[in-house]
Amino acid sequence: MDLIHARSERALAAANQQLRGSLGRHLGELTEGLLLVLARIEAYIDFPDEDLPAEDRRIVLAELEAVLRGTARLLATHHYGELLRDGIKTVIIGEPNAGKSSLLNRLVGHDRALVSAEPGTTRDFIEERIILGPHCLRLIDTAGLNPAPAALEKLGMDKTLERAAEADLFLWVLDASLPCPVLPAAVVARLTPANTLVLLNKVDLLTQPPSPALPVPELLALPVSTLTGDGISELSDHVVRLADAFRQDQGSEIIAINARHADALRRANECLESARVKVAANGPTELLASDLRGALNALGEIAGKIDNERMLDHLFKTFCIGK
Amino acid sequence: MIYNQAPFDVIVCGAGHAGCEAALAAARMGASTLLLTGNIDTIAQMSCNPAIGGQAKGQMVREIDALGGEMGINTDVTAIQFRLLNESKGPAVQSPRAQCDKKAYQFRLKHTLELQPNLQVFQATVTGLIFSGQKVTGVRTNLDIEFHGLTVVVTTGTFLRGLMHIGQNKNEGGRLGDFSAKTLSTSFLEAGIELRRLKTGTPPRLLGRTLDFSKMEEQRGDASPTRFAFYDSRDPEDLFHVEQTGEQRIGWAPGVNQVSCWMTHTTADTGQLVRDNLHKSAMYSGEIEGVGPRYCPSIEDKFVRFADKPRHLLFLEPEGRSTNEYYVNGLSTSLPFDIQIQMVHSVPGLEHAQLLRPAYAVEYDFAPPTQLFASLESKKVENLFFAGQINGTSGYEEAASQGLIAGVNAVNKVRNQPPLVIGRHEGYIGVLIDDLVTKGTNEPYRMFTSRAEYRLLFNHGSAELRLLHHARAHGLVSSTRLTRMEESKRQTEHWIGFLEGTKAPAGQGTFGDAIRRAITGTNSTHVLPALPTEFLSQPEALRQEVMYRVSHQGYLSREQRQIDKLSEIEKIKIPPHIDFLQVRGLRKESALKLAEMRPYTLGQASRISGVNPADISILMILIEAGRGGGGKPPAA
Repeated sequence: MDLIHARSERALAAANQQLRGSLGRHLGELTEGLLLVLARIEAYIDFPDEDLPAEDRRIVLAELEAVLRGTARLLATHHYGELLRDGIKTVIIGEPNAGKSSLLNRLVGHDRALVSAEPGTTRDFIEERIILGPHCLRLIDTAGLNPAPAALEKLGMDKTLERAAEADLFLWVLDASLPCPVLPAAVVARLTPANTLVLLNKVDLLTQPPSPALPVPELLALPVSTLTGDGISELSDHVVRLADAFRQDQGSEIIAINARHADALRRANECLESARVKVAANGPTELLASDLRGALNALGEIAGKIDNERMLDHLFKTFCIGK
Repeated sequence: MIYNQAPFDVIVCGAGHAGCEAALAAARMGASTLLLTGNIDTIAQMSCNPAIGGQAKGQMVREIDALGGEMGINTDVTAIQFRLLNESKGPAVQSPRAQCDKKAYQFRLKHTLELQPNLQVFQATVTGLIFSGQKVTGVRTNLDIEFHGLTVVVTTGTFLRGLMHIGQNKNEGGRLGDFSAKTLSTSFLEAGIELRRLKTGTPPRLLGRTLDFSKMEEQRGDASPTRFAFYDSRDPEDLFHVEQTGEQRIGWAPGVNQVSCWMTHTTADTGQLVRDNLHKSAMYSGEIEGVGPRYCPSIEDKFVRFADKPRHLLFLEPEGRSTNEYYVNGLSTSLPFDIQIQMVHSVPGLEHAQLLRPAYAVEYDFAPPTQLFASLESKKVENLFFAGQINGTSGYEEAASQGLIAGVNAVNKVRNQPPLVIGRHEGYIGVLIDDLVTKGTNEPYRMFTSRAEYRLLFNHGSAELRLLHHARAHGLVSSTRLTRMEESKRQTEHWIGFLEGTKAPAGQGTFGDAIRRAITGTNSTHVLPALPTEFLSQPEALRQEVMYRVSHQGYLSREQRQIDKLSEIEKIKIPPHIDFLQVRGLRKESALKLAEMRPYTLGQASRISGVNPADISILMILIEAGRGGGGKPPAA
């Protein structure tokens, strides 16, 4: 959990160090699995005159698929690693002048974004990292999503759509005193109850509780006032609840691979996929081995070069070789 | 007495497979060379099975041939059966293998040595080395004759304190019927060279006329033999043959009149015999301290470690045309002789077999090869080179490869020339020596194709193309052969370009594309188009190589990319005078390891266990700085 509280580079590095243990263990298991698959293949290449049992590619396929699942699982942690290092990407969206920047300032606790009553003040992005409960959030304030934008606003809006496409969480700010606006379809498609909170802002101006017609009816809507601060603490609790879900996906153990690891794992994965096709199609043995060795090389880039002796150990344990 | 006042350039001790190649290579480079052997009648003897080649080993023999060595051609003209292993798999892992006429092999190699200019062969047992400070200057023999040499190549095989075991029976000797070199070990120990023990074994030999081949399965040779030597480039005089000389040789070619091997298997009775008598086996009663190979287990090992396997395959291999002796491949053991007889008789076809020689295990000294530079010169004693089983290897081909390299580098040392070091990316010989000097070995080291990172590039047909530049740089082949090798390389490149650049019919892209789709593609419906006749009229070896390079282009370039990625550090040589312990920033553990190993290149350093990428970066900066500053590395 240290990583989540890591505010400085040094603390982050220390936390990374701790992660290395479990990452190393998982990589070790994958590597052993892969070495065993390779040993089954290599035996038939290096010992063609031996009395080996008939080659059974079904065993190879099953074991190979297990390794593939393992690399896929590790790769999936890459995003979680980003969340840990960079914060959960939380994008604040809404119409111009709905109060997005005010919300950001509220959450950050000081005036970071320029706020004015003039719609469309925020054309560039403002990012702030905040700690909310056990989570680090990367709050991104965006230009307003105006249904009929001026030319200059249009530019800002396109960037907003880009940000929305890669967001982990959405905070959608509505002006509760106005009818629910129409959002771009690309944005609406990404909104789910698991990643979105609708904030009915400016409740301080209302006399009746708001009931907007949301495009996704299941979304949770919370009344807030960025002016008075009412409802902000409830909002924080809900954000923490949604952010917790990211961690739960991960299981009890925390692994977070970095970009270099992810690159190597992706290459390993490609080689393994190619090997799987060959196993299924009964492709040439030495080319199948070449794919598996490519995958081992890629894994070796993360954990250090893998000595062929380890493959031979498996081989001589599995098969009775020698005349 | 002192035999010679003017020292030989190179003295080779031992005339096995390593010693013969070392002596021939040195003499062929023009160096004055002396080859000493304990017994001239056992030159180039195959102490274990009468076969050369096989997986990875076959490729190594072709590499030896590309470097001007003798093993390939000697096998071709004395072989009695040829088989290409893995014929159903791709070219990279196909390996030539041959059964040899054991005596013919020896006679031809002995005669080759006798005819070789600059080479003198003499029968004497080396009992010690003569040192001057930390340099070797010659050898002492059992006849009290001293020979002086500028360099000495030691190839002792299993003879260094050789001890043979048959059950509880122990005999000194490196091979049944031969002597043991006992005092030489003392010389090494005095020079500070560490020695350890290894073990190997050999099966019984049987009398052919007492065997019932009708109960066995015949294994015939290939109708069209795959030879080891590169006949397209070899000079005609290289093909000399002891038995088929002059007129006789007309119409004779390697591979005619082949002899079969025979397959049978152990039975439940064999297993019972082994289990009942395990305590009498030298291996299992604690008599043997040396470590045996995992890949060549005794029959005891096989029944113990794979208890659920009901039977084990045995091969009866003929030892020659003019003998009735058979080698029982698969029945290596150190059980007592009486049990051996019962074991043999428990096998179908061997019920009435007469044993000509018993099986035995042999223990011997080896010098852990991490004590060597990549040139195979000792780090402890200057001008002293090691090759073959003394370096912890097993196999005739592994020995011959090292012998060749040691012989060449002894001459290079005398001439103050840089050593011949073959890269891991260039051939199996490179992998072999790099593994030995960088990682060492705990068991008799045998080559496997899986040890090579770039196996697909090491198809046996490409050995000349891969090693040509070394053959040229060290003058290992005649100028006429070199010209042909260079031409063959040009032709290969030309025809690859031709197929890649010529449009195939029916919109299949180039011929290269069509070949790849048909041969290495996953869709089996693609068929190979008719290839242009001008290509089809080229020599077969050339066509095979071109087709392989084209059809496997994607896989080969993947390996090439890997090589290129690592090539930078492989090229950076570490100055020999560098003091690792004084290099700032190196971790203590790495510095000590590097100081002990003294790697030749940064690439080799990176493969030493415990040296990490950060250490390599530090060394790289240091070496680069030294180069920029006029040769001397900066004081750290």
